[in-house]
Amino acid sequence: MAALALFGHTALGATDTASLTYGGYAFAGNAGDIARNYPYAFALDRSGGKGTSLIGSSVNAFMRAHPGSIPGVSLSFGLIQRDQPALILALALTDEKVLKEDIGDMHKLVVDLGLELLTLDFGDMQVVSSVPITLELIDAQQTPFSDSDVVGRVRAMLIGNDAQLAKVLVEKLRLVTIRSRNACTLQVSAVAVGEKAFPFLPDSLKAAPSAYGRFVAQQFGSLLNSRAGVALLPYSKDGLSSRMALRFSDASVLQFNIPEPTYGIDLNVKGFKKVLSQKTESESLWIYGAYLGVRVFEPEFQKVYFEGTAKYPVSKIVPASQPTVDEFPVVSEALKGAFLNAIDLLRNDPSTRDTVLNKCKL
Amino acid sequence: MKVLIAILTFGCIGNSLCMADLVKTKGKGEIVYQGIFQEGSPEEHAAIANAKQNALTRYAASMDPARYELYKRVESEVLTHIDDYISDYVVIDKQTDKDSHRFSVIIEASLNTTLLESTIQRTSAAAAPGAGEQSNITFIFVARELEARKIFDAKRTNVSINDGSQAVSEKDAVAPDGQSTQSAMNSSSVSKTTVGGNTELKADALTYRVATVAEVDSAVNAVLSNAHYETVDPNDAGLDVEKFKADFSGGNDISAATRAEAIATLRRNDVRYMAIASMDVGLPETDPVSGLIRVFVTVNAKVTYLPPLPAEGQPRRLPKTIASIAGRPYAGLGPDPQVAKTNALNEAATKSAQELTDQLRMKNIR
Repeated sequence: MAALALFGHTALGATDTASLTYGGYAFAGNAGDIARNYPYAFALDRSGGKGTSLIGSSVNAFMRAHPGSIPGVSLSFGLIQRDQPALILALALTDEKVLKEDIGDMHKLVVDLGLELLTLDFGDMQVVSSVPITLELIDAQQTPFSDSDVVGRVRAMLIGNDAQLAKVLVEKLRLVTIRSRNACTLQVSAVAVGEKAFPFLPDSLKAAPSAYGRFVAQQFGSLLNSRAGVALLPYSKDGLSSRMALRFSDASVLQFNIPEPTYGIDLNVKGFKKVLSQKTESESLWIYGAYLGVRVFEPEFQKVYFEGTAKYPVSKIVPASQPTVDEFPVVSEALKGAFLNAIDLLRNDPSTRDTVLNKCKL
Repeated sequence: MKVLIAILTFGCIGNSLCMADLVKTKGKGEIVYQGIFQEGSPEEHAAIANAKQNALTRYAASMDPARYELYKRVESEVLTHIDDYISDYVVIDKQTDKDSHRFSVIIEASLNTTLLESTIQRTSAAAAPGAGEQSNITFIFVARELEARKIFDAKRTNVSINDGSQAVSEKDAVAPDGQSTQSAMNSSSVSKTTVGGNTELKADALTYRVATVAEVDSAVNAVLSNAHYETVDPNDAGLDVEKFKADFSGGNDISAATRAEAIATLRRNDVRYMAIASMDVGLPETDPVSGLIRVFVTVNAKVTYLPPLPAEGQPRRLPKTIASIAGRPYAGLGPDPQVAKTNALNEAATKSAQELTDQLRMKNIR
């Protein structure tokens, strides 16, 4: 009996073999909504010609060129052998957010892309762990941004060795590890957006607060993963569903279960605040603050390890000649500061550090 | 990815024979200690042992009622050898309350469900040594899809009743002069029309396309064989499967004649159990999470015990229903409706056969 258990654990946990097979690039979510959820990335992906995934080919070429990027893990390509554990590494696009704004005579573009480096167990179709990645591009020009302009910017973010993605992947692949099945995991379980945050959000996000919640979860997870070195499970955008669907570049659609995490983190973007600090005839100095509630807990027995608020201010000088201010990037910067502040609070709290973070170490 | 998946599936099947299923489950243990609590003390080990047992109990609480009953039979044995079932665990929280001298610990354990299942099966009646022929069972699982639906128009009956009546009254009186009489006549007519009726609605006439599915038979066979029941092919048992299909094509159950004939045939052939299930395949729809096609299959099933034919002069024992499932839905996903339907049928067949088996074992049916 003991031998059976040991064998099973070794096969599933796969700590000894330390091999991963690269499975490909995928769009996350409902396969029928890919073109609607990721309009620019999808258009870019299909621009390589019929049946060709441009992003998939580019990521595949990168992975093949960097097979030793994951410390202690042998990344293989092609078919899995029968005696190998069914662990697959996949890169999934989980979020695409494009904001276009007119500021005076200028036209501004902000592109945010969220991706996850997923370790998937095909044996029981489960997500084992995830390394979140966020990419951002901010651009401005005198003519409005056309759709093809945006696709071009997304291309610069994702395709080729000089793309943002390639640079980030080198760093993020180091965080991929093959952990025992019994190892602890963390997950951003829920994101709430307070009323005091809404006035600072663009109209597109006011209309879809869940999309903003997903972005917040992903950005926080990415920072937590890299700064605290902890194992994460992907954020499930629908709290009722713990499934993650992936549409791979060959059009196959697979569905994975996201297991219950050992520990959960609830985030509450309580709100943003701006205060006029100084004013002269030529300019004004505004202080923008972000307030973030964080709760770390064990979901089964509802044991709370940390509950507190992190805040962070950023200053913005507005020339008197500038009639309007694009406040979203400013509060986003403040929120990012609050994320880092919150992570420091978690790391400095003995209970959270010893009981939660250290147990979820990669 | 498709090729990869194909290989993976093959590989997983190959490995599944010797690979245990591990499920993560959490448990909490607590003890009251004497004196000063120390790490690594027997009290701590006792609390962890409690937590392991709690983890198992919490897992068992998620079982369906029949399976839980089976688990309860082996619970004491499993708890005695808890370390065989929980091979690995992580302490995710521990707390010492010095005032009340309580130590509590929360663990996340890997539970070997394959071993647990094996223990449950080992103690079930059908698996008992010498069960042999006593566990003969034949099953007919038919899948049916709506082929035609005749919707009847509402039948409206209008009724109108006209009643007419005329009333005449005559009044005679002596005139004030006393010499003459006065006479007056009033007449009135009343006409009444009563309008009413009824609307008769007739249930839709449904015609099903019924089929037996080889994959479903294999799935059910696997479950019953694993539970140590001996399955007998309905054709080998002398049943006319076409009659079952014909009955299910127009109704929700088999006809009395088909049932009587089947029971007589099976009793003659010493088959003790007859399992009949109809699996209604729903219309394909889009799964909201994955965007794949999703098909629901609803299962109605029952197992009838067929007592042996009585010896001459002995009282006749009647067949009785000993396990049943009513209207349980199961879902299957796939890239197209055909694959989704096949997956749903397999899921429905496996799960419903498992549940029927649990109900049989719960009643010590052998």
